[in-house]
Amino acid sequence: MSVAVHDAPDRQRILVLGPVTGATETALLAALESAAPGAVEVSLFDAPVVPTRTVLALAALFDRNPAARLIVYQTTLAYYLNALGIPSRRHTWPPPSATPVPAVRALALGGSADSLDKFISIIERLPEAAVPVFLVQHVSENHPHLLDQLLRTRTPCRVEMPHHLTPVIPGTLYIAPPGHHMRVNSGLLYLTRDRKQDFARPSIGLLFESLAREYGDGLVAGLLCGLGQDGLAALPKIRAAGGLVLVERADECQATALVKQAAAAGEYDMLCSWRGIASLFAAAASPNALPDEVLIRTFLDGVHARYGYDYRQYAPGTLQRRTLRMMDTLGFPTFYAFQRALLAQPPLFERLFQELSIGVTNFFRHPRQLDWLRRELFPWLASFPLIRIWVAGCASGEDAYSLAILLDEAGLLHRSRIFATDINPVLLQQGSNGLYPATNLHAFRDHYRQSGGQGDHSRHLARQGSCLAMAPHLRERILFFSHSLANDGVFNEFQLILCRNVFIYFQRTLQEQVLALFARSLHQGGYLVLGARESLPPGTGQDLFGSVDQSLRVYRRR
Amino acid sequence: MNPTAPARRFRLPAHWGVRTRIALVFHGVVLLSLSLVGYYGYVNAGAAYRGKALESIAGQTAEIAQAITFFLREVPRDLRSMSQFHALEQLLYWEELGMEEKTMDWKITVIDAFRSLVAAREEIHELCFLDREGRERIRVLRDPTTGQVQTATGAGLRNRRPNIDFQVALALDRNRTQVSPLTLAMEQGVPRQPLLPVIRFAQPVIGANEVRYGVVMVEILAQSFLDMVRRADAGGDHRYYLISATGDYFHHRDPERTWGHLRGLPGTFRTDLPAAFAALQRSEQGAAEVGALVVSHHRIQPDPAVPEQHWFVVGLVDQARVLTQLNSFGLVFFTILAAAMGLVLLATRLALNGVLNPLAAMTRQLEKLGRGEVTPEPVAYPYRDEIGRVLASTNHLMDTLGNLTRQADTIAAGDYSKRVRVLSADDLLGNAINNMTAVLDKNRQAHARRTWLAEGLGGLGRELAGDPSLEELASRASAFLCRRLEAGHGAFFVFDRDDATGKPLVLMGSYMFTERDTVATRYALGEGAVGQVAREKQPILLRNVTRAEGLVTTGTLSVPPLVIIAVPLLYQEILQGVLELAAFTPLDEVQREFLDQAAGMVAAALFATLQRDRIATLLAKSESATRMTEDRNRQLQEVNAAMEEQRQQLQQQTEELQQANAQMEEQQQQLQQQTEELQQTNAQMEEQQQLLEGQAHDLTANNAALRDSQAELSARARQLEEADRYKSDFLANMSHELRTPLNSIILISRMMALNEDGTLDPETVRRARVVHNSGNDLLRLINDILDLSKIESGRMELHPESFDTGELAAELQDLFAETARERALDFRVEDAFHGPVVGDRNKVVQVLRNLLANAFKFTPHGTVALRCETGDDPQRPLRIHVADTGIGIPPDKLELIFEAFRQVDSSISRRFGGTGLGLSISRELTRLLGGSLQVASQEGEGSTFTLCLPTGPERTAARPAPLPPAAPRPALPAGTPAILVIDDDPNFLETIAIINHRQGLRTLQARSGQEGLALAAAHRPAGIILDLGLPDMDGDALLARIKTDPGLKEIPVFVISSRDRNPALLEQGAIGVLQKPVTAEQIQGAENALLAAMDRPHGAMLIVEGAALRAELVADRARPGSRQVAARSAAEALALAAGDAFDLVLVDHEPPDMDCAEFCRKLLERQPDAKIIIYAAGEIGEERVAQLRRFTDSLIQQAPQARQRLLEDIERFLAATLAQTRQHDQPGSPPPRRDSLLAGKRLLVVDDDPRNLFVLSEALEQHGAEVLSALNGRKALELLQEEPVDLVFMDIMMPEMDGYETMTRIRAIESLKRLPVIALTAKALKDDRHKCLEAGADDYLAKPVDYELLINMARAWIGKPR
Repeated sequence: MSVAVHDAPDRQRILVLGPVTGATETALLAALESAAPGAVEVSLFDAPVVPTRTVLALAALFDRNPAARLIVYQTTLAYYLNALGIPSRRHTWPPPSATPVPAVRALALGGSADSLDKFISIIERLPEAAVPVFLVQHVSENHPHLLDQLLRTRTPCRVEMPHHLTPVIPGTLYIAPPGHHMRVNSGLLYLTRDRKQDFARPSIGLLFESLAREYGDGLVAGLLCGLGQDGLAALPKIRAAGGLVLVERADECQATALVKQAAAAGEYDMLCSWRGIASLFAAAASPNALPDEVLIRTFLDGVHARYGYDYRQYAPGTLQRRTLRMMDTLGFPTFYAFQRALLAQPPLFERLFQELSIGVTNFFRHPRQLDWLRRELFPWLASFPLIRIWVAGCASGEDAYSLAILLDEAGLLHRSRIFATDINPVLLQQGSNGLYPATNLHAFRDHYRQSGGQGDHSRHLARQGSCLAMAPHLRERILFFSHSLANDGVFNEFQLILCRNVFIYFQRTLQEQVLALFARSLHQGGYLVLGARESLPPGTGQDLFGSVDQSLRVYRRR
Repeated sequence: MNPTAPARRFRLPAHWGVRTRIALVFHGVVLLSLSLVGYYGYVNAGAAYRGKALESIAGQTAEIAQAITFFLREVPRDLRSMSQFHALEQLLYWEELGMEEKTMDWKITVIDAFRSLVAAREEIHELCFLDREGRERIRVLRDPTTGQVQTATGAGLRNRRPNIDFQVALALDRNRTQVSPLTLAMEQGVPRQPLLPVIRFAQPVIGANEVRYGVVMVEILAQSFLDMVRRADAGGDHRYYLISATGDYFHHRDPERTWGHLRGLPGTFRTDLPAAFAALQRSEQGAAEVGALVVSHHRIQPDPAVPEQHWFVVGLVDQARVLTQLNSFGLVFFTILAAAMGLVLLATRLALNGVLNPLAAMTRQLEKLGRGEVTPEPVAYPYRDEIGRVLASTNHLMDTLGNLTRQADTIAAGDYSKRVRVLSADDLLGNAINNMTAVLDKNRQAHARRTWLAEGLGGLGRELAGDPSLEELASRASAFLCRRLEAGHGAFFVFDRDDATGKPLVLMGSYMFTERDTVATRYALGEGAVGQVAREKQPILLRNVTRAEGLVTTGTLSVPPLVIIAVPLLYQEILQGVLELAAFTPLDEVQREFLDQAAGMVAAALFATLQRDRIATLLAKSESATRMTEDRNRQLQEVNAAMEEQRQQLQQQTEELQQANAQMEEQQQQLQQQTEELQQTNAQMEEQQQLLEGQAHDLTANNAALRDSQAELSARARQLEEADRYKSDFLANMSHELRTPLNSIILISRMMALNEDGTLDPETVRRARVVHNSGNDLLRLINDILDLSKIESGRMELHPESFDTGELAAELQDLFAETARERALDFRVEDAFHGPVVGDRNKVVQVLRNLLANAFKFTPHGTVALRCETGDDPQRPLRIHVADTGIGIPPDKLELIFEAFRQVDSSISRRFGGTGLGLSISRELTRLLGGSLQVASQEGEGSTFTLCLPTGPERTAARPAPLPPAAPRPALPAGTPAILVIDDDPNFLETIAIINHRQGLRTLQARSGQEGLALAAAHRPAGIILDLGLPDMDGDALLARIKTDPGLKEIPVFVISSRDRNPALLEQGAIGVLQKPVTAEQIQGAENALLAAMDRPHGAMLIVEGAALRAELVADRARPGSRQVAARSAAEALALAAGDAFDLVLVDHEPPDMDCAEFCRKLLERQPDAKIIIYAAGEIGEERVAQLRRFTDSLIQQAPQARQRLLEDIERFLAATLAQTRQHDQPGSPPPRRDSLLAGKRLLVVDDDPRNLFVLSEALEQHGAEVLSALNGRKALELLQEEPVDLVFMDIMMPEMDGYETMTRIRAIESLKRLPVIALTAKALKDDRHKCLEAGADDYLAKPVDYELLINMARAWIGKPR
């Protein structure tokens, strides 16, 4: 059970771990119900959001017992509850940046069989580096090695196949020449023809060991796939010296022996896709501590490979600003440190995910548009025996409830279904809760009138303490589901799709892709409604949709 | 030390001299160390030699073993790629289904892949796939001598069921590999020569449903890694072996011994070197010395799963060979050692003698001195070296010693005052003793004075100790000081810092002090001696005081003091008070010093006392203040708490505000960018607008002209069509009308001619026979005319079937044997084709019958021959000759004979009879069959008609043989309709181009979707033939693109693809779907449909009236030119539909006499292509909608804009249907495939998307399944508890109860735990899909659902044992 009740001498403490759903919620409600009349302290550790009944139970607890205290660890929940008038204290876990990240002074990359393509791709993504980069590829001694020529055309950095005793210069890529071991000592490169190490010459291990000695905690080393075990022995030494070891995930490799052994030995700081390695390398090599758009793009590649969420088609400006903001809030001095933490810690990504989904909305937003829908479109909708409406990117559901209210007043709600979807499960749960701050009531009333609402708005919402609760007859017609416009497909057929203030965060290609999805999801002649400041992208968008009222952003499937 | 205790340490005998001892120790040490070094070196060198040998051997064995292991690990990987090869799986899958063409296709792919693998890896000897019976199905092998890769066929495929590797591998799990022992390739049980070492690897092939299809087996030539051992073994002392676990030689330096066990030769490693073999067994790898051998070995594990099957790489070297070098080294070393020893002995002896002789002399002299003799003994030692100087010093020492003794006695006798005689300025000892005496004297006096001072100060300290009050301190201090200094008076003034009177010096204590009026108790600074001292902070001394006032009064007398001393009391240079003393004797130096120090001490004590007093005062003050502060604090805290709360609220508000601000900025920026972009776009748009306006002006003018001519043309065309139709109708009617009376005439005249009752005279019988014959002729003529008109109007239908040419020939022989006999002609029939043909058999017979009838008719004598053979036209491989030896046809009439109603010579008809229609019908029929008919003739010698026919899809279309390079076809005139073919198969493109050319159509070819779109937009073809599997995009998507593009959506699309027929394509707007392979006729049919779709006449509409729907609703607004028929009841409508074709049917939801759904079902039975719109007065429930949705997606409920929508839908449907000609109209197109893959299975589809529900149900039903449906999870659960179901398809995003919850609940019901459930999800992320599995789904399908996948998955899960 993830709900624990402690009777401390001075107060009763109710501790809740994990998301508040199912059995946890039942247990929590029971605990709140039977809470002692004295000082009660409720701590919600992990839940980013709580369901309606819990919200109401918490509100009731405060009504009954003003001495009660609520401690919340997730920012989203704290904002949500505070907005709903439930006083909570927000505690934060120690910030993840607490351990300072040593400055990067050198990068090293080694790879054996089957790694050449990834090797080149990683180097391609490097910006003009501020540190030296050392590269080892296992290659045959008998063939000319063209890696330096291959790379020269792909990177802004200087690429060198060094000679014996070449001094190390930052910003240069050094490639171990075939048939020679490459080592670094006191700023000089040493090339030797010692016997093979683990059947390899050049040896990854020898280079890594010498770099660990030379650069200590300033070294970031990446090991790509391959066979054999060259380099394995050096990994613990790098880590012992404080350096960072990145090992490629075996599941994306053909030749897995090397990385599998490295993973099994546990001598790594991060197991990541080569895209993740590329992203960290790019940030580590960059002379700028803060990300530019190119770095962000590489970073999004890494995020996609690590977490599966694909933000690569989102507007880069937004992503950059959001990332900077988050770095600033959490006190990460460099983009590299930020990435390092983010790729290693899923909760931090959760944070970024929340940061990236912008959930600004309110009731009866863009009232003129809603008024138009009510007057012009509802009579058309009425001719369908079953009315299906999709509110795509619904955030916390205000649009869906606004529509439901208008439909109800037009007498259509009982045969309508509103599918409200969003990518952010926290917002979806908030929407599904149907609870909103009572302070919104005034604005609600105004917009309601402007949208052409004539009825008694209090039919649709009931005041419960400091919250406004949406009436059950609205809630049962709205289905909240998680759906990613960027990744997921058609799931039903609709007469109307409302997608407001979502496109602004997408790049053009993604916009077109989503429009095609909408076109396939719409009934013949169905309508699409966009946000007040959006418009159809020319080209595909206008091929698929015709404009009905440009000023109101209403379009119809051709 | 106890002298009786025995000496523990080793000692040399005491009588031995220094010489003996040094020599002994020196020689001993040198000898011992040299021997030790020598021995150690020798031993180490031996170890190093052995170690080197070991290391080199071990390194080599390890390297070989690693290389071989690496090599062996590679093989299973390759093998795995083959055993899990998609194409192989496909091959087996289709083979099981018995789809031979698909099987062949995939088999070719698999063989290609096998061949390329074998070609790529030289060491592969043979790669084969064995089915589960052990038969070799595919075998690709490399000729070991030439290196060529061959594919075995027929007899080359062996049955290898007894092969142990096969049997083991077949039972293995997926991804496991069976590895055979390393062995020799055998031929009839004996090793093949030359020896060919091989090793086999085998892996099972396991299908998706865990079906074991067989085994993929590869035979590897072991030579490649045996060579590694051989190379290492090539020379030198080291020998390398590769042996089996039992010691058999895989490699031995002597080739005769290699493979001994297989060649029946005696001797294995185990018997040759048993000790070494035993050492191998102990570890995986290592090196050891076994007897005289250094042995290193490394175990190789060819199959990690079978540890007992292993080999060893063994390296050997003989120790004796290694150690010969070491022994010669030892000999040299010991010789050098002995020589060095001799040299050392000689040198030591010479050196010791020179030094030790004078030393012995000196020893003797010192021995004398010891006995008290001071007489020096001269020693003859000529050298002035160290020893010489030691001898001289010894003598001098004796002299000095005597002098000193005497001088010491003198000093010891004298006192302090006496001074010793100093011998010289350097006599340090004498001077020192004198100085010491003087200093001792002075120290004694100083010590007495310091003692007095210390005692005094100590006393004062004791006096001031404790915490005396100020007065106590003053009196104690003044009393003590006066007593100590023997003073008569003492007064102690304290400096009051806070004084307000101006006289800060206050008398605080005194000694023997008598108060006088004249002497004040308070002084100002500078007042009197006390004040002066206080100001200057310097003591004042007054001598010879005579004033009477200052008398010192004792009990007995009053005496004036002699001196008065006033001392300031300074603590840290700050004035604390003043002490005044009056004394009778002047103070000496010690007393003054005492006073000074005492004053300091007193000042310190005074300061401490004053401080203490002050602190006490302050403490009291602060205590009262603290009490006040506490009160105030309490009030403040309350206020603070209130503020804290406010601040927290404020902070939260600020945070939210910040967030809001960030978002606002986000939006602001977005807005700016958009505005900029918008402005730019606007500017561009305006430019384009201007351009467009100009163009539009030109266009309007052109269009007007164009429209006029178009109208004229279409009017003409309509007239022509009408005329044509009249002709056909007339002919059809007339022949029908004619045949009825003719039938009677023929029957009756026949009866008359037979004259069975004998009532007619012969003349009448003859006339009746003439009537009968003429009637028959007339009937034939009418039939021919009818055929011809049918063909011309395109109403002649083909019914393809498969038949054999031999059978055809036999039938014709039977048919004409009688005629030949009658006419005494030789009739020869020959079939050299011998093969199955697909075509309309009756039509072929009809043509041949015509030709033969003609031949017989025009051949008075001679021969008529029919011969079937294979022709050289790949399109029409069947060639049939009909040759005769008749009258022949003149060359100028050759073309004429095929024209209707024409014969070579009108006289001929009179001579030979006949309608003259036979040949033209034959030619038309031939054309219809896709064949050709030619004639060659020599007048008077006979004619030969050659009929060439296609043989149907089996021979040509399964995989169209690469066509000869396209013959340059004469360009067709511009304006001819064009067909766009989008397909990535070049052969198919070429085939269509040929067909099109024959049909007089232009062809546009596109090999990718993008290319297709571009061509369609550029040329606007009359129709598109579309393949679904395109390289760049899916055909579905392309179809959707075409159908949503306003410029293209009018172009009809026909899908010809090798995928299964998917009804959803028709939904998407394709006018027809064909599954490959297709025949030329089918393609022609498709093209006809495409052409027809463009210019079919306007649609017909049937309106079934009811409560809500009235014909007037649409009367005035419906599409101009369309025909409308109203029916007042469903029954009436069905009756109408039986006779007439309607494109669109409007139905009231509640027709008066029938259920609407029932009506729709019946209507579609009659007219499967009709589109339906349902119009309802009131609301329709959800279930009902789902039910009706099967018939139409246009359900309109009465509402303010319902009529508008109705008109929209009518327009849409008519536009669509007019652009379509349905699949079923097409000649030769197969009916939708209905098979029974899922027969007898009950499937439940749970989805609230009616569109999806419909498509899924349709698809599943087509395969024989019974499909139930539910609109949400709750209903599905109810249904499942009532009815048995074999499989459930479950949507996720549903109302009432979503898919996750439903599946969880299903799994909670005991009886449904094992029911297969497949989730339908629009989600693409892996995590989301896994969520389905977690909720209880067995599998998932992505939306939109792929038709083939759906069926396959349904079959797989139903077939799976649960």
